[in-house]
Amino acid sequence: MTGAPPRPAAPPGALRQAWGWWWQLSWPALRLQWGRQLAALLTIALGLALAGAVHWINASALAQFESAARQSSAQADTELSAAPGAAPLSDFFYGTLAARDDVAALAPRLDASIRLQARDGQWQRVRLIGLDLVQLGAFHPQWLPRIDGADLGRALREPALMVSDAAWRRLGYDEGHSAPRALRVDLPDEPAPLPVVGRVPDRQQALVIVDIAWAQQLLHRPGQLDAILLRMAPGRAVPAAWPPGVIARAPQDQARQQADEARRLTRAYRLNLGVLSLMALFVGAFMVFAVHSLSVAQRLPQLALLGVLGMSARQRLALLVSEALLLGLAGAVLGLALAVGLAELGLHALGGDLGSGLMGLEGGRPALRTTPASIAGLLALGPLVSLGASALPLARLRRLPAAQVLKGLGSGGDAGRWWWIGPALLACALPLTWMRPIEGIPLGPYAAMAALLLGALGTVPFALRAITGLLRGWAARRALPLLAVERARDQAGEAGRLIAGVLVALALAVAMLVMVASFRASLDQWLSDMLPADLYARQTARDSAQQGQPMTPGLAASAAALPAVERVAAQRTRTVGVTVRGMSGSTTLLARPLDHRLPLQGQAVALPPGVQPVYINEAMRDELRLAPGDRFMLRLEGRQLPVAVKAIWRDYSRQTGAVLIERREWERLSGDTAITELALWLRPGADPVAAQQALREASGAPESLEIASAGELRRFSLAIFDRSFAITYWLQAVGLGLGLFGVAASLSAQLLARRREFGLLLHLGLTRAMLRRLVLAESLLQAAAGAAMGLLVGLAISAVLVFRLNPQSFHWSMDWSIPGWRVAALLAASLLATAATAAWASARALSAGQGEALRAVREDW
Amino acid sequence: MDVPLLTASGLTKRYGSQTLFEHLSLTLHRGEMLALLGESGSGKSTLLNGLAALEPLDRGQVVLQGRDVLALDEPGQARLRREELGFVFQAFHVLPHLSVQDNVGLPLLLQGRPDPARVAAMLEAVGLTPHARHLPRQLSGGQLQRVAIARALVHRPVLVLADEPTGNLDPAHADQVMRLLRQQLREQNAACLLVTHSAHAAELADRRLRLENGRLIEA
Repeated sequence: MTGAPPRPAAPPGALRQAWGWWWQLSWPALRLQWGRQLAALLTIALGLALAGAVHWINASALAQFESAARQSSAQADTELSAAPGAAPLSDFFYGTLAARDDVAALAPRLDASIRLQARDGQWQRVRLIGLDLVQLGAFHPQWLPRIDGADLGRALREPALMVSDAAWRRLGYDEGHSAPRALRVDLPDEPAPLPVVGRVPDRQQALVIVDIAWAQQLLHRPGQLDAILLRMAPGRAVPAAWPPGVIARAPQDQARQQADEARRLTRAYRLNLGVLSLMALFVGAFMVFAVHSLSVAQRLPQLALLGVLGMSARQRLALLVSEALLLGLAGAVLGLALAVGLAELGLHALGGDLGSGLMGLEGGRPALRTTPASIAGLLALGPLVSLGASALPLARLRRLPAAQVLKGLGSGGDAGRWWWIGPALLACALPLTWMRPIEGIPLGPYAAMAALLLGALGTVPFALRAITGLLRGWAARRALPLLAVERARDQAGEAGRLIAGVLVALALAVAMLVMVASFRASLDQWLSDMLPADLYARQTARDSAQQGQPMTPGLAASAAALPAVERVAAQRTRTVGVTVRGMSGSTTLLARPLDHRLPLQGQAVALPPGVQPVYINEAMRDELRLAPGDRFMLRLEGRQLPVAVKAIWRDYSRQTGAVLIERREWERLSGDTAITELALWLRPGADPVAAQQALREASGAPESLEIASAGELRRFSLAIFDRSFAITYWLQAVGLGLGLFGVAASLSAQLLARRREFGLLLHLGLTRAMLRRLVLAESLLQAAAGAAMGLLVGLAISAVLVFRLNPQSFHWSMDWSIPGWRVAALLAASLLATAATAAWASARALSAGQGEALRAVREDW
Repeated sequence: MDVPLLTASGLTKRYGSQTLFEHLSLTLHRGEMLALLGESGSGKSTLLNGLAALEPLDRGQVVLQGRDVLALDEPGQARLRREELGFVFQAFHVLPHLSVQDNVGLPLLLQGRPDPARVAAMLEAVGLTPHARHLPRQLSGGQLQRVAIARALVHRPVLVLADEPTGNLDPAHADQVMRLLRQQLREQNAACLLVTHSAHAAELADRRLRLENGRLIEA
């Protein structure tokens, strides 16, 4: 051995060889396709950014929610509250607790939601907490007002507010605006100004603190309490038993339970948002698949030559795997940076619940919280997506017929062995849709949707062969059609790659279009069924816990006496306890006249005489596993009221359980004659605006009554619906755009790979225009097959969404309705866009590549 | 002799500062086979493509059956190639997704006059009738070149431009292919400009020219 000693800095031999190969073989190829590679990288980054941002926004919001819940009872051993359906806690009960030896200290609390007039004159809702201000330092030190300007004495002497930083911000008094000395509060009697006597240093929650005695008076809840915080005497344990109707929870459990409740309520929303955000990643994965496929296709001769020159299949595979990993990692790093930026932007612009209002987050935006695990997950997802998307193209390498490729006779029918995968995946979709949710998450339907999409891609060659089979006879006597049809037929396996992005984007777009249209039509019908009257009135909601505050007694009679009013129906909404098979919980009860058509889900059953019929919504059916005919108990102030399910009723106004009962039956059963809402039918020709005004005046407290016409409620509901789903149209457009980019990228690469064929056709007398027409015809054939599959799979996915996913996620069923013209327009737009993209890509490639095509035919000059 | 089928004069081709050939002239008569010899890189294939208006020449005129080929517009030149020229290449260049009979019948389809009987006759003539429905990947090199010859002659062109048609074949198959080409040309009274390195192939030609240092000389 005479060789020089290795340089100290040089990498080990194998690594150096790998680097050398990569630098000499991979890097030039990547540089040559930099546009496509960059597009694939950006696609991964965009998908990861959306997914990461949505995850972090949700996590930050939930963390803030839990922190806020914990603060409410921070310094106590236990917190007592009324059980669902039981009477509220009282000052009297507070007194009995105060007299106990084992209680060292206790503090009452009253919770409400009130409206304050903001700087711009608009009413803004904030949380009101009534507390014993003398105990504030002992139980809620975090809410002690700042010393400068605080006047606790005045807050004890008269009704006065202490306002948090977050509330000031919500009211429009940011830094730089001097806060006023009084704020106008929407009180049950009438709006009135209340003095501000302190500033609470809470930047997260928009709240005002009022002494509890004044709060009870202001809210017309004399002697009532929502919670009592207890600190036990030293050495004394928290009692295990409490009087009936009283429940005790440790503050940590309470906070955790509230956070869990927020998680449960928002899970479906968060999950769907997450899936929507993953749509871009999903479409992007097909884009990456197309790029890798074409990269391999384009480099087949080079790879075959390397094989001939002695590079093993494993080594060639490692080369391409490293390219895929690098692309995924670069996309993940960029996606991570974008995700942080997007999450900050989302929290700043939309808040923690992304504008849905589902978490009831009040006040300032949550701080962005990322975890090492989520960062690592996001970083791992990029290479995983890239590697997964390139698995199939890389598998081609293992069976590469080197000699045939080098002779220019293609790589053979490599798809033959795996023809069954597409149909098998399609067949798998059906059983997957019937899977029950796992931990409340509809994993089965999601897996079914993925199986449908992947199965459709695998089935594209069949669709293409079917279409070209129909055209074969006609094309046999025409040159360009013959060339287009026979090539499309022969290369049917390649079609999946070319139109993968468009197929997936179109399928998802059709699915979303049909699902949204079905949902909207069902909601429209539901609104018609549930809002049969002309006007609806209720007390202005001041208390989120007890939103259905009873109306002033006699208001129904006053309303019925108005000249414009033909008929009045009173309704009652309240929380009641419920016992099913020994398990207790709480639910919303709606008692209203059931003299109109109800939007039932399924058939009503006949119940035996003497059994009290009720209707339950789909959420209650799913949560408590109840079915028509089943019996259960309603609990009200210690009494058990037996009822039976007559039918399931569709309820788009809530995602939690609710019971609907005829109001007269409810009054008879419970003795509860209070009313919370009024439905008014006007006389023909009556002026609705004048009727509203007359009703307000009749109420005696015009500001305390919310009145809306059925038309307004309907318009408002549909406007909210449209706004909620507006983002899906953007995502559809992004998906289709990515798909078209995939077509352009794939087609350009295919045209490059076919330059010898085009050179030959030019020799045989085709003009460039004829070549463009040929490529266009081929692309249209492939696009037609893709569109046909996209349409079919899109409809199938919409059925999964309508019949399985939405009912499992939100407990909302709906009727499947296909907006034919809009689907046709989408299909036509997709075909046109694909044709235009193909025309552009072919014109570009062919005009630039004619000389190259001719040279590819020649052997020397 | 009668009026030449093809008259090329003053043909000049430059790549940048390098002159590939200059002031070349040649004539070709109906039924005549002219072999064009020369070293690799001498410009034989470029001259062939220039004559078919597939490669822009810097100067010169090409007249085929009285028509100035280079003066035609692109569709006119394409039409001329479709109707009056046939091509045979060293690397066969058949379309891999078309069957043998579709490959052979393509020039007729391009002219809008499909003729299955003529295709069958050509396949019979080149001995490929049993392979009519096969795809190219199922054929050997010699068979592929016979497909190319059938395709070059199926539409009865007046001139066949053959670029190293035996370059990828062993001597036995090369001889077979050349005799077949010669026979078919005679039967159709078509002329042929044959670019070749093979002395044996050149021997079958009526005349032989060598392209050397940008000039054509008798070989």
